[in-house]
Amino acid sequence: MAGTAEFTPKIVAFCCYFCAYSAADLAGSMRLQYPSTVRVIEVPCSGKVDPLMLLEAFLAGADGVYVAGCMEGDCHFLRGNFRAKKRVLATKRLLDEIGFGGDRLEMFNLSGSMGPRFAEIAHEMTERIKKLGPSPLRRAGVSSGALTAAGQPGKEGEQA
Amino acid sequence: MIMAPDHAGADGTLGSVLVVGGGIGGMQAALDLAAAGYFVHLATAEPSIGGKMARLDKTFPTNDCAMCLLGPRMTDCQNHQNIQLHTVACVESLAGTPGHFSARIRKRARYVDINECTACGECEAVCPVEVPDAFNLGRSNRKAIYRLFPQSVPNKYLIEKRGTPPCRATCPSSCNAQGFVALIAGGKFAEAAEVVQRRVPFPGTVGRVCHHPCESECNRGDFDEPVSIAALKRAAGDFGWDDRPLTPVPDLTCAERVAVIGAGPAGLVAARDLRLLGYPVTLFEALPVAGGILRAGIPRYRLPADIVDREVAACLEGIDFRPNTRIGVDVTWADLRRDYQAIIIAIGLQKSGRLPIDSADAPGVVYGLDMLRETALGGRPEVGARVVVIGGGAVAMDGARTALRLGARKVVAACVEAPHEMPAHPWEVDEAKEEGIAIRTRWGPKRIVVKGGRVAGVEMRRVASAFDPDGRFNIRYVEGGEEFWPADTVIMCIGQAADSAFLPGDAGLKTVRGGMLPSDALTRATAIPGVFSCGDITGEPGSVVAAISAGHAAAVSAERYLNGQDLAAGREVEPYCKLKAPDGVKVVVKKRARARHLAPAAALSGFAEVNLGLTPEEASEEAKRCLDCGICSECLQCEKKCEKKAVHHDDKDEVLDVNVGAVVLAPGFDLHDANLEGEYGYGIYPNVLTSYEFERLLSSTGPTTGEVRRPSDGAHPQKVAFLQCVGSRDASCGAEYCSSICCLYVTKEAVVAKEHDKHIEPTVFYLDVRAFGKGFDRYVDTARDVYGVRYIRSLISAVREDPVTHSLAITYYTDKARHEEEFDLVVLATGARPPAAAKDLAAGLGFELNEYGFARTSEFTPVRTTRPGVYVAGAFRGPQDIPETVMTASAAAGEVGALLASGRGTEVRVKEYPPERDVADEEPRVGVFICRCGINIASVVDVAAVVEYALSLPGVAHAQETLYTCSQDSLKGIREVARDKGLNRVVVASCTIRTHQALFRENMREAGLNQFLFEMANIRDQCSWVHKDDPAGATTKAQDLVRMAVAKVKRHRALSLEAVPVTQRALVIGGGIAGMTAALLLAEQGVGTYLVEREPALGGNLRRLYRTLDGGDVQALLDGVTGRVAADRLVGTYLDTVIEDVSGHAGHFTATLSVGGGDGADGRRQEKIEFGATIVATGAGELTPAEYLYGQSERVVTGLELEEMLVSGPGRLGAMREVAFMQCVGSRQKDHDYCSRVCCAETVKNALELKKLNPRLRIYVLHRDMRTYGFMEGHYRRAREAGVVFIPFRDEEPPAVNDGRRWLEVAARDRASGLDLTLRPDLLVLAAGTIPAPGTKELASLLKLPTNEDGFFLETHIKLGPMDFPSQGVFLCGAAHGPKFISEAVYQAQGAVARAMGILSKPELMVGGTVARVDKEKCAACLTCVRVCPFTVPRITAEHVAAIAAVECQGCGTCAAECPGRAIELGFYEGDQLKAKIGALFPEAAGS
Repeated sequence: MAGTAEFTPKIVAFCCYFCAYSAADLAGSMRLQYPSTVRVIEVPCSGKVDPLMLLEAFLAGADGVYVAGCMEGDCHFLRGNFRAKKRVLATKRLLDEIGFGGDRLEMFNLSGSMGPRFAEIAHEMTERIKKLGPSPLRRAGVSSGALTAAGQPGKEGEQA
Repeated sequence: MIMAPDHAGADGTLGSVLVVGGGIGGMQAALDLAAAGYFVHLATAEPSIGGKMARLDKTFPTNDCAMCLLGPRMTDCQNHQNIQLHTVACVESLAGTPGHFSARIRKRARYVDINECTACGECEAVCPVEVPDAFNLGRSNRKAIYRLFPQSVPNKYLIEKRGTPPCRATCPSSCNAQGFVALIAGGKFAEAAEVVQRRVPFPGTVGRVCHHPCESECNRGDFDEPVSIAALKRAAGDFGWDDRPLTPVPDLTCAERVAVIGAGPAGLVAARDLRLLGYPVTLFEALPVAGGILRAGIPRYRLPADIVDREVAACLEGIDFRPNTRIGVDVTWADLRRDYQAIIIAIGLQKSGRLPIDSADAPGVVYGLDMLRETALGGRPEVGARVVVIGGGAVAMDGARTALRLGARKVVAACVEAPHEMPAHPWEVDEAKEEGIAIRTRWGPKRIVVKGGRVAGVEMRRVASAFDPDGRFNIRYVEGGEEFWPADTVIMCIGQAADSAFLPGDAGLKTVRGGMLPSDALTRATAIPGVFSCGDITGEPGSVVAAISAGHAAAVSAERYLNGQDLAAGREVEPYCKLKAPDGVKVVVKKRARARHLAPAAALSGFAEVNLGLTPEEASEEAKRCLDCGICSECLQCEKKCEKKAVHHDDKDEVLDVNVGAVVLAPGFDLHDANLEGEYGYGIYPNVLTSYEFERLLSSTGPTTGEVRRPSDGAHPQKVAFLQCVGSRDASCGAEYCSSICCLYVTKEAVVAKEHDKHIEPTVFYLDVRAFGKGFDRYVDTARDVYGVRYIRSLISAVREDPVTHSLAITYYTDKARHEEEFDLVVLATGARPPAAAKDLAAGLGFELNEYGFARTSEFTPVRTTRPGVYVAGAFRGPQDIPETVMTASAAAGEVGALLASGRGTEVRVKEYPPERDVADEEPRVGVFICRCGINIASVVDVAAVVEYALSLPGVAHAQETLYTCSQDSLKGIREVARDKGLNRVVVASCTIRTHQALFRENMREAGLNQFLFEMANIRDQCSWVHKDDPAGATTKAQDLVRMAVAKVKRHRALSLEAVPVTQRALVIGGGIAGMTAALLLAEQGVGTYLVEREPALGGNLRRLYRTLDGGDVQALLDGVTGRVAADRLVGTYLDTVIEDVSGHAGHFTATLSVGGGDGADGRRQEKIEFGATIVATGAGELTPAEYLYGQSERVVTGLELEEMLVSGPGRLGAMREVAFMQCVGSRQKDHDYCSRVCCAETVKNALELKKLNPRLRIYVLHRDMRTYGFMEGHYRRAREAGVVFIPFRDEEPPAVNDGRRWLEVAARDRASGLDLTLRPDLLVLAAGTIPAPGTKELASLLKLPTNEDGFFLETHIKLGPMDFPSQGVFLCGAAHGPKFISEAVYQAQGAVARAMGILSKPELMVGGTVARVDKEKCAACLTCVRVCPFTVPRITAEHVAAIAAVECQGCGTCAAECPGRAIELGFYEGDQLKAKIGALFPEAAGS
């Protein structure tokens, strides 16, 4: 955990188009400042996010991952955010079981008008991951590039 | 194919529609019409669409975020190619007939070009004017340049202007006082100096000597004292001069030469203006210095020479200045005429006036102007110890004070005028007096007394009056009133004269009154073309600012003259009409700033400046006193800052005539003005808010970003009281009606407040809880039982404030007791009012308003105004909630669709695209375009570094930065690069997909590429804007995002949309009023319709109804409608028919009907039908009560039964002595936990009918809450007036009914008085609840439609989708949706038709893109997708694999995420695409 002060985590946020992605835009419109640690990946619904995507993010070297869906009961697609929640919880358990730490993964619910909340979540997650330190996969000293190449079967099959 | 509607003719019916109002109603109507093949002009008076809903935090009863619901819909409106938005636009008039209207729209100037504005906000940041933000009800501030709200659509700025403020309007030189004052308030002195210099090149000079007529007009003076405008102008000059933005002197571009004679203020200004226009200007001056009166007249102690010199020197830049040059001596008039094409004479007045008295030239007599000039130029004229100054003007005061400084011991100034008549300004007189000068008024000189060849004194005469009664100068002396005043020096200051000797007699110019050269007041033209005169020489009353103004005018004229233009055109002076201070401006009394002055002793010791001016800090504080009367100050900081050059302060309103076939009005509503509610202390007690203000307080984009705080002290309130019916159900304020929405919005606010802060204890004081809508009662129950919201039935008459704590005391009565309780915050549930524009709209468009000021409609044609072809939707019909607004908006679209059926599709814009290039076999060649967004991205992100980085990524064939990627030239550039470099994928790194993806995808199509071969990276909203302080981090992040987008786009594949043919026929299930209305309206649009009814007759519940509450004849309606159904050849009616089977999807369904009266074994026959859309209108029925002796006593009947009795046996009813009504029988109870909506009004109606039969009949109504919402409230009042007694009982204390021998016995406890009552009615009428129609459950299962827990059909969204089902192509209307009145069923049916026409109007539907596809090879038919799809789209086919119809898929991807075999992919979000994007999180992965 040495050098935590200098550690700048990389966090992947899977954001539902209808709420979290809009909230992120609103945070921008309101010029709310938050750490540049978060990389947003837009999905049409948090229900599109499957556990494999979450694990792939960690394998790619992410120090933290979260899924941000609509407020419960507000899903544009009725129940997608409940599905996402279930998958996130299951994946957290899995990460705990393998000793990776489920705390690196989280599910949030917010509405499109909650720009301030989006910024707050970015702060929260950044602080949390800073405390946890770099991803064990990164800490192992393996460069993340090697890691992704080694960690993802089928990589070589992709077009260069 | 759609058949020609019966009424359609080749009449050229227009295919476009004007929708007025940009709220949810206007948007819904516009979207429905555009979807059905009409072109829509959507005009809103506001700068953004969104309406009231945009101001809401949440919506009831689901607590959905209002903006989340609204946002996508606003974007849809903006992006729809057949909807044209007109913002800040009012419709003024409407001419023509239905199908052929011409509407006049006035679009107010926004002053910002919405095609250029990128909403970067730089303008807002530099705008110096802050005004209360009306969007937040003044609870926060915004700038004069603003967006309505952060998510505005269009997301563009605009400027609020009220007109020219009085300070600027009254300034002779039109100096923009509000502009420089606003800038000084923000400490921007340099910018302020620049603003002054636009009209007044000498800010420091004029700020010192101006007589500031602006200050007398300043509106601030009405509150305390005017703003010290002149002192602030001086401050701008003093503190802003060195750093002021310079106006570069342009090259000499014009050939014509201009001579200006006289370098005083007028001449300098004229010369500078012409020089800045590119003319070679020669400026002649007799004195050795420029500045005229400023430099060689006004004493140094008032105006230091260095200030004048530096300001004049700046003015002279580029001008050929010839000092010490006298016209007529050094240069002749003829020389000028020969060498210069235009001449401006501005020589001022240099000669002192002379009195015809003895010894006026004796030694010791000096002339004021000469003495001042000599002193100003550095001389020290000799002055004796005793000085008499003759004159009462500015020169006299200056002369007297100068004499003191030159050594005089005693100075007396004498003038013939009375004190109030003195020509000097009062402050000049005061300052002279302060320095010890004696002012003796009403004295005139008779003669100068000379002794020993020198002045010894003046013989003075007392003046009786200086002016005659007509105000002419005409001195009368007092007989014998002579005095001798000893003096060593006499200074004569009795007026000035011109020296026009340079003009030869044959010049052609006439001088008047001793050398004056007058000119035209507007153009400054003299009798000789090309010769102009300005300044004091014209003989007009002079001031420095007037001279400056005249100099500007002369320059304009000279330029026009040299260009052969008319001198006067367009220069008329508009009559002055004082602009008042902005409405509701709040002023904290504060005296104006006063400058410090030199102490008299120090002042008199020399010529040091006496007035020390304000410090920068004092100036800024003083400037903040400005009331911003014009709102925008036109300081032009925004215009200078805008890199897109989108700000145009000169924009004018635009008048637009549009030809449309019909008009839909949806201007919404206003809220009651709480300022009229004095008894509640609104506007006086800080902690009394309106519900609307409270809503903004709850909103995360509101003034407190969603934190509930008391205005008085910012504390978190604990006890919050909500007072219902403020300005509703109150005839005293003109609103007898119920506002329908308040009970629920208050419940919502109470719940949301509690969610924000669990310590809040909300209490609602109400009269009746009117939770009559779908799911509303449960919502109120949850508020009460789960959130602990207290509901107290009590009308509150007053609120009192504790002046120390600002808490509020409320007295109420309940349980026979008086209570007094203190609250931290009081929220007034203010009622709905007609929109402010209602009267103008009605007058301009020619339709009627009802007695309350809303649009008049008729109950069976609920969305028609009184003018044919003009329809109304939403709350302009009367107070109503969002679902009703959506329904009526769709209904209006449905009605318009029928009216304009023959014009459908004639005006829509269809775009042609080049053929799409097949790139499937090509290696990825990605083009990356990185937007600077002006400086929005580039000021934080190192764009060049991102471009360079992008170029290094494998597969990237091109990368570049663009200033604004969304601009038309950039889009064209992308298409060209794509063509030249053979790009087959594009990434744009700029802003958000929400606003720009559609635009860029469109550009892909125009470039001949598939629109899905595109990806965006958001490096503005989610990067540069939120990491301002971390440029390095932001740049790294931008590179990461670009790399991730490139990785993903490389794996994109072309997705083609496929055309699915539409069977342009409809099925309507249910033959009640809703079903018949829908079938007829479909037929009117040319759509053949199957109308299926399970009963053997049409009509449904209407067959048992006779009159409506408003007096409508239901049976006549029924006869009319059934007659039309029977006659319409496009409606095929199937009675005694049920649906056995349905399959298909939107655009094409097949169903099997089982029709009665067939020749099958069961007496039935089967028929197969095909259609493209279904409307469910199966209605509802009356519950059969199980309680209150119903069915046991014939004295107990239901409401419907009474209605039949009223028609069949009125005699029996008329003979009765007492009738009781029992409300909520089978409603709002355990097994029927919902309000049946119609029963209260039914009871009121029947009670009134009974009273009509027998006025002496005693009628009691036992109820829980009377829910006569909207305009029905008036009938409730009439019933009370007719003597009907309404007795409320508690939910937990229902009345008991026993049957007696002669009458019934009804025991009840009145909840108001607590008294136990026993009624003995002859008849008890049970308001039996409404229940879903029989067969609803079976039909729901057959059509795979959801129902709610009460058994009614469940729409997609309770607010915005009240006629839609999750399954596309199936729509809902009438009581099948929930209990409702006839008019409500009618408009919902009309609305359902409009929704269905979105499909049925098209020959084919284009489907695909972001939809799920099944890989048959991988599918194991495990049913997971079937189970998880929220829309029940996947089906297992005969081949035993899952199939997902593209036409039905909503694109959420849930199935793709859950499919265990990975057999399902969601287009554009495919597994390998997302995996690549994720994998590219770190740069090392870039090579993949």
